Amino acid sequence: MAQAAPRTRAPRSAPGARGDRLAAVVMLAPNILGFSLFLGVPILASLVLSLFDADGFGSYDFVGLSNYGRMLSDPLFGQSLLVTCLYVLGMVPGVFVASLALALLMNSRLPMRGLLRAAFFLPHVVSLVVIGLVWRFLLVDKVGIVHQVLAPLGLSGISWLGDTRFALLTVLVVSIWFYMGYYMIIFLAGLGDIPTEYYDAATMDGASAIARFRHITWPQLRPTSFFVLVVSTVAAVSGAQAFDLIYVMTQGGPANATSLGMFYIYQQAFQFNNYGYASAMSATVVAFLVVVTGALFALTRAGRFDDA
Amino acid sequence: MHPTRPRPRSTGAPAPSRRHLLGAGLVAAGVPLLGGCFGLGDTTGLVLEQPGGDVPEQFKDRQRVVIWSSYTEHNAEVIQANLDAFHEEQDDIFCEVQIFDSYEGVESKLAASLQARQVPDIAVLSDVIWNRFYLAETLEPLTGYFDDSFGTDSFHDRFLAEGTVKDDIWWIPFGRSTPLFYYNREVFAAAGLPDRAPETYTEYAEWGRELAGFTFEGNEVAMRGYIGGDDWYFQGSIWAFGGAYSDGLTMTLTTDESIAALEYDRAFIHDDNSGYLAADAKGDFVSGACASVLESTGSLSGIKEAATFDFGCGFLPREEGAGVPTGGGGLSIMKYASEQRKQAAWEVIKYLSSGEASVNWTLGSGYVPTTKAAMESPEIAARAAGDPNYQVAIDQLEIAQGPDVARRYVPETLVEAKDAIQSVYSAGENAEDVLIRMEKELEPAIDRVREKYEQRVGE
Repeated sequence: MAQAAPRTRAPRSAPGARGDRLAAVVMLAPNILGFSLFLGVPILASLVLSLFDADGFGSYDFVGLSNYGRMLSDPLFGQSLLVTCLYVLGMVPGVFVASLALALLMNSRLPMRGLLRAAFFLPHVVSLVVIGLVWRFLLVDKVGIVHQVLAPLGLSGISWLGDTRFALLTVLVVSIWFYMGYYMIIFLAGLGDIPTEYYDAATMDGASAIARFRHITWPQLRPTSFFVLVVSTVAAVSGAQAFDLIYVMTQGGPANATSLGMFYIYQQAFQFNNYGYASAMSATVVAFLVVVTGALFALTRAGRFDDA
Repeated sequence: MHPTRPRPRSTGAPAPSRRHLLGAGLVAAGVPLLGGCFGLGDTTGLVLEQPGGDVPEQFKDRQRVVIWSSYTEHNAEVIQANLDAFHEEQDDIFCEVQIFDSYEGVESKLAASLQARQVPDIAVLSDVIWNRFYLAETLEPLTGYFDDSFGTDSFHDRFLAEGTVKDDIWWIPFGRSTPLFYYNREVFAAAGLPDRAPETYTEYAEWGRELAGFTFEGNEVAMRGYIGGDDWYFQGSIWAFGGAYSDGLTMTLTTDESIAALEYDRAFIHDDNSGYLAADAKGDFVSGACASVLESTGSLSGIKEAATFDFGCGFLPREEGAGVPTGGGGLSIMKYASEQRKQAAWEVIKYLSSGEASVNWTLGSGYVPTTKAAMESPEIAARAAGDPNYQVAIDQLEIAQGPDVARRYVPETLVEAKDAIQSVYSAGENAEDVLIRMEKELEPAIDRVREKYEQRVGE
């Protein structure tokens, strides 16, 4: 039997290293303290709360895991998960493609590039509530501006926010329009990091624009793409992006067609006063997010997209 | 292999694993957290602090009263004007209004603020929201505050009765309304329809079929723009067809009469093409996209201002009987305010509900009069004489009634009902299937409030 290698004691850290560690702890302490107080404690409270039937008015009864069991038999929670999945499947690729296309366009030798960049980013500096109100006004049935513009194209009879077939699609389009400017800026930063020598060499070799994108731009943009992918997925699943829009534009309707998981959680907590159940759903969404983000990291080798 | 120690004999209960200990620790650590971060714990003699705000320098030495109000824009200005007069007339109390975007906004904030151990002194709560705060024992009983100078007879009996549970008043009527039938006189005349509201829903459907495909001034006009974001109007039509949401806490949505009400709407929209689910029904009516709409009496002033055509108002159609729900908001004092704050809050309510302030509010807001002072005032009489539509709103009060128990005490009902009517209005789903589903989905919600309801309401 092979002899195990003798254990060697790790060398004591040098006094300087210990000082560095102490400095690091001191500098990180405010952040860690803030995180613990304002995120850690509420997360813990929420996890515990998910084990109670709590009405928000002072009464809470321990119910164990029954709130989690209730989710399985709640058709509206199932519906909200389906809507969330559809939203994520539309939002993430949609905003990715739209913002990348915009970034490539804004990175080319376009006249008034600076102005156009600012124009595309501009919606992002306006409150989402205001954006929602403006779009709701534009989308009003029969007399709204969108209706008048689309009427000549034979799309006059559609109630964009009042029809179960189109409401989620409409919210998706507004969401993509709102966020593409933000992700465009991120892609532009990534494009700015690619050395121009690569393009010069490829051009001299007679590479087409498509070939240059495929062999230079896309591989070099992988870390940026990963960032956009992760951030937009987390935001879409958590409903952080869409909640304000849905609250203002559709209130989750018509017939729950736009009721994302996060909107349903809000309803359970603040409209129905079922705080325990809402906490259980939140915990489930967080767990799902951890799995999704973990899967993204695993599938893309943490953004390197290496071959397996 | 390493020698192992002999395993100790089992003593019955297995030793707790690390996972069990961790779970127990989580709950043990969390329960005090819950007590600290969530809920009110022992409420005996509990006094919660006021929300922050600004008190103008000249009122610093007065007792501050905070109202959380859902009245915005013009209505907010009317309230503020009344309070400015109140501040002039006495020098003990300063009242600050903090405005929210809707009744739901006040409700959400109030539920959250109770956990944060803060409450306003007065909250504007809607007719289908205040009961939940009553069930949760967070409202102050107000019967004892009335006296000879300001008695219960100051209010319209029907409205005051709505805020009464177990012989105690918890909610004072303030901005109250009913739906009215609004119709475009010019479209009705051009289409050869009578210049009045339809007397029955059957007649309304007949008129809708006559109007189908009708164009007025180059635009196709539908008979009715339906409102899907509020089930208030459906509450009225379900009564008109002889049904109801519930009898006490027993749901009655799947009776033939209740189903008939929703089936009527489905046929009106999808078979006759006489109506549609509107994103903004009031806006569509004002722009001429639909010839009629069921809208609040509170919208009368706004429609009058915005409409470029002559319009009329009438009672809601009947069918088996009348179906006119009351709506709007009232004022409640919060139980966990201090005694001084409660007393000062009552003085504010008393002022807003008396004499000139009450008349100013009724005229300025467009809500129906809730006090005898407003009802009998020459200004209101003059307004009604000058605007027959306003007189219709007042007259219809005689057949109006408060919402069904399920809408008042089970918060899920409103959302489930919106889902149900939107499924029919938008997607054309079968009315019976939708109501069966709604009733089934409401069962657990009703079970959750049943014990509290029987204890606190006990009808």
